[in-house]
Amino acid sequence: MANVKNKLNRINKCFDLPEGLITGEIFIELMANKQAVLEGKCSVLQYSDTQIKINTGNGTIEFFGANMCLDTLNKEGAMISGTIQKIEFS
Amino acid sequence: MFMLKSFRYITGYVKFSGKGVFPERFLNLCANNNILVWSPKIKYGELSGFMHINDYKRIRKIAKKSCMRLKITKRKGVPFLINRYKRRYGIPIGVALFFFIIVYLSGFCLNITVCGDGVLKTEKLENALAKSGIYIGRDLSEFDADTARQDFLIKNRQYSFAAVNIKGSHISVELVKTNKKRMKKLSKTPCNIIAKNAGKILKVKAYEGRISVKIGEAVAPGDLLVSGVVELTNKTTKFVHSEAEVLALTRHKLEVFAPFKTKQKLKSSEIITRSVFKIANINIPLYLGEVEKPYETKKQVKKYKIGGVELPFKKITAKFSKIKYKKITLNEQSAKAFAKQKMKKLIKNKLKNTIKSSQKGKFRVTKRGVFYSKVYFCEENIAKSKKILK
Repeated sequence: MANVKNKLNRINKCFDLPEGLITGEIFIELMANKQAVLEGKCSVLQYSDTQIKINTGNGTIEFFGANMCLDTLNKEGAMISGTIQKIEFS
Repeated sequence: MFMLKSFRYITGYVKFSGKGVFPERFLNLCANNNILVWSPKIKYGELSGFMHINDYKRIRKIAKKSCMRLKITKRKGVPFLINRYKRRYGIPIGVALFFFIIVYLSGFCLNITVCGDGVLKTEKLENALAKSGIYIGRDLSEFDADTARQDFLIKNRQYSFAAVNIKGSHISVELVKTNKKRMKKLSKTPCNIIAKNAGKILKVKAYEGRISVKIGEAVAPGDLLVSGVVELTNKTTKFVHSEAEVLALTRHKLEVFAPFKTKQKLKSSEIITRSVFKIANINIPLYLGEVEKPYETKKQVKKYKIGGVELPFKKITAKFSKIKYKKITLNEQSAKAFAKQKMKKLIKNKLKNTIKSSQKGKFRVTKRGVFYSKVYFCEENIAKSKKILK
């Protein structure tokens, strides 16, 4: 599996494509600190007003803030809104 | 966002809340099974969110898997609204009837506007238009604007141009009046001018034709005044449409009769008002019963407008005042006064402003009543056209 990923990464570099486009890594788009749009397969590990923990397959992303809300969650991605104060990758 | 909200409202959605061990797992399973949960919130271990009604039916297994106990807290949307009112048959019937009436009535003419220089929408014009098939309540599916326009122009020569346009259920008619000179040209059939009454010629003003009388000459009714047959210099004849003004001194003997026993018309002070609501060509009476004859009526029409557009209904109010005939016997003096009144009315109708002088009136008393006769000398136009060729 790791071998296949490495190969795909190489192709990515050859064609100067954005990192992780072929390998299916999660793509995060931030609108200031108000909204975050996550594209790619993800699931929720922890969900509360102040913290949302998302599992991306390769690791986890934690959003810290106030009035956090998971607007939508489906197969293609998720949308988080609220006042985002901190993002942690692990 | 508005579109999304209205779509959700039309399809129907529920607000749910649930308690359980793994609310996050429940959200993940929903996402994997293509069940849309929007605005989910977890507070004090309780999950709440929104979901489409069809999706809610599918989440039983998911809820069981994630050890969640769910319940609906709010129902919103059109399906619930329909369900709530499904036993009220009047509402769907009313809605269906509303649309049916809208669609049905749009097939009829609901309003007519008439425009043009100096053209007014009078009752006379409305009747003329109605004769050509342009009236309120006309079925527009069978209405041919071009045929109606041609028909109107043939029947009404005083208009030289007409345009009939249909805009939805509204007909607009544009009219142009015929020039009077042109009207005269149109009626140029050869004719003579003859005397309408007997009299002494005072003045002849011939616009066309050959004068056949002299000033001071006496003429009898039917005598030729201006001939339409004109002899040309090359000894040929030409028929023309004679036009002339022939002023003559005429004598009129008028006689009226005032009987001693007569009927007097008395109006009662009681006025009965009856109203009718007219929609297109249908009259809806707003009263019960009938008004006994004889009576005199005065009509009032109230038209309704919105933004200057006349609506297809009006209220017609008629005021009936009852009439009673009372038999009265006049004495000679009052009969004479009554005869004089009658004579005044007769002059107004017959002679108008042509009277130059008059002789003293004579009364003749009989058993039945009083005859009143008077001779008037008038100056009037006695010209009357008569076709040469029939």
